[in-house]
Amino acid sequence: MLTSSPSMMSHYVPPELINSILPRLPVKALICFLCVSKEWSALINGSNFIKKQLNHSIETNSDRTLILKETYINPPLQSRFFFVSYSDNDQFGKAVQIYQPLHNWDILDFCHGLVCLLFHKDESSWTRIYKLEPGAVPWNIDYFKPLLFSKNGKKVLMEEVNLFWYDIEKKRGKKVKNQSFPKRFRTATCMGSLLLLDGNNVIDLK
Amino acid sequence: MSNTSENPNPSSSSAKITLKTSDNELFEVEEAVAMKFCTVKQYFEDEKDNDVAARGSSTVIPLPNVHSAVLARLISYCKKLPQSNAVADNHEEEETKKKERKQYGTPGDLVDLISAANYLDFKEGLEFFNQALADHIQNKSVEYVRKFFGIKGDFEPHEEEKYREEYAWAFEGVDED
Repeated sequence: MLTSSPSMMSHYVPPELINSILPRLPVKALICFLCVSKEWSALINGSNFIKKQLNHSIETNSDRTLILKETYINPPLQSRFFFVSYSDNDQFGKAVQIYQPLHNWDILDFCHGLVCLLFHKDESSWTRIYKLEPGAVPWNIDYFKPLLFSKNGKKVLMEEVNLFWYDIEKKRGKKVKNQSFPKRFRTATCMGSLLLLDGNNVIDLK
Repeated sequence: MSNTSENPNPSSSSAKITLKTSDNELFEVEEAVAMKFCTVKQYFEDEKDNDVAARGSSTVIPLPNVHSAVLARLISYCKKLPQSNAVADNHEEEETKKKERKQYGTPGDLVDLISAANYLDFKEGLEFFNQALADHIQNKSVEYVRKFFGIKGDFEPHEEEKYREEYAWAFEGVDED
């Protein structure tokens, strides 16, 4: 029945539908809704949900966020992290300091809403951020840069000196082997487009 | 050779299908619209197999889980569906879509529309109304969300308080109601 009831009225929505509504929400709202109930908390913290939410944000180019890390010229102070939302009309929101979750982490790099963190000692995690488990790869972690998701969303391509796939479920990295790559390189991801930044077409018809 | 006496298959574009709602109202809708509802499509196809000729508008498809008021809105949404389901490529379009999503009644109505779209397996509708409800709750307080979905908070008060302190930044700027 259609009801024009006051907002006080409760509505039963089956779990499978809740499951397809919540991933459409931005991270900020989801962090609030973690304390709605234990059931919601378990749902939102689930790895399937996190992936679904991230994929939705990427597909719709929504919930864009910048994370700022304060830097000091004189190192003794601990640097703070800030969260800046970036709205649909390209306006920057107010920078809010993020407390606990990133306390003992360093940002290595991020792309597409995917943040790569270097683990120090805190075990807390944060929706939308993938952390690299210590020992994920046999070699030394100095600098990782996430580049893109695999088609099935289960792996992330990372750049170190070479490229490697990081399996989100197995929490393990595997080197990409390709003879045709140059020996040393740096990588950037881009979307296919026929338009240059200066507004000219890549293909010159003249 | 004898002439084929009649064409038993009139132009299919004008075919109508009758749907019967939970409150026994009959809706005669164009086939193209009805086929968006996969549940109806499935029913219709099964029915076709059983029958020698397609009985067209003489077939009444019962929808015992859908109220007439909800069906009327779903049909009107269906008729407005664009031909291509292109993603909004600039924010103006996105803004228009947001406004459009607000036109389909109260948040409570949205829940009814979502349940019906889910039952009818109406993909575009489900997508649209899910997003509309997400738009609605995205800036709401935890209390509002609990009330709206009829959920009882089951965290210990001190657990919840500690959590809210820790993530205070996420609770800034949330709507009061």
